[in-house]
Amino acid sequence: MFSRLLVKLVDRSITPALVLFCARIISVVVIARYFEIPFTIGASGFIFPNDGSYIQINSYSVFSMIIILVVGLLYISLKSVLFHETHIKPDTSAKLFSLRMSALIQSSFDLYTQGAIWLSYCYLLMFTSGLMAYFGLMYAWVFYVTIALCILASVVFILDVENEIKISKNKSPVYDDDEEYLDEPLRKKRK
Amino acid sequence: MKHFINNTALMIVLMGMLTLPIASLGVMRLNNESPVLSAMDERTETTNLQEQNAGSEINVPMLIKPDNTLVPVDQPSETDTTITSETSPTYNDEAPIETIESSETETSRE
Repeated sequence: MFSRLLVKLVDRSITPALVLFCARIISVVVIARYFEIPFTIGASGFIFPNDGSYIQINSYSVFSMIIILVVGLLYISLKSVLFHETHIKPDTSAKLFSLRMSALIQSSFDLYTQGAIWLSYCYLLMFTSGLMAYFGLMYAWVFYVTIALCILASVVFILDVENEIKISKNKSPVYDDDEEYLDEPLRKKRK
Repeated sequence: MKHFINNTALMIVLMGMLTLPIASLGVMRLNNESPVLSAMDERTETTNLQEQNAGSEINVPMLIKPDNTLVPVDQPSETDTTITSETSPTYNDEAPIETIESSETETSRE
């Protein structure tokens, strides 16, 4: 028997992994063409002639991956804040159904697994870009942008989880302890 | 046991999916060498050199400055020269001795 959570996480990680991988490859080619920097493609990857061009293309390529991450995280946070199943407004829900976009309304399980995957990519990219910036293989400002994105995304994610906890607490049943209208045998039984 | 193996396999797949975009950062090479490895080599070489220099500094003869700081004799610093030029008195070697003597006598008379 497979763990439901792990299966969901693997399922949710496929799309962003492929998108980020493609973004890296395509961005390297596009940016090299844009700056008219010559490169060759060998068995080990893209080969660049000098340090300056390598650092420039590497920085802008990682930045393009960050843009993809921003789009993904923005999509997840929009869904979790506005279209979350637990706290979506009735008129928004009706509008989405009329536009046949009800797929946007998702449960906490779906949203949080997606959010966890995108945040993991964000943190992994932050650590890697930090290492690259430390060794002088990338501009430092790319690393600072990644840090800012990680902090912002984490704060939005935590706020939504807190909101969710508050809602689940409000929905829990409230029991009346007043025994005034209870029958005598029941009251004795409770005591 | 079967659950454990299944879930471990899933975890490995998940790790692979998570590291795929990060591994794509290594597709770029500089003159057919891994730039990360060469940068790390350069850094270790410089740290080794610094350590060696730090060890050899013990045997370097040192000069004690007026403010009790030590300066290597072979490598005088810029601050060292500026300090000496500021503190040392200046003598006018071009002026004839007679005129100096005459000026001294004038001041003693006054």
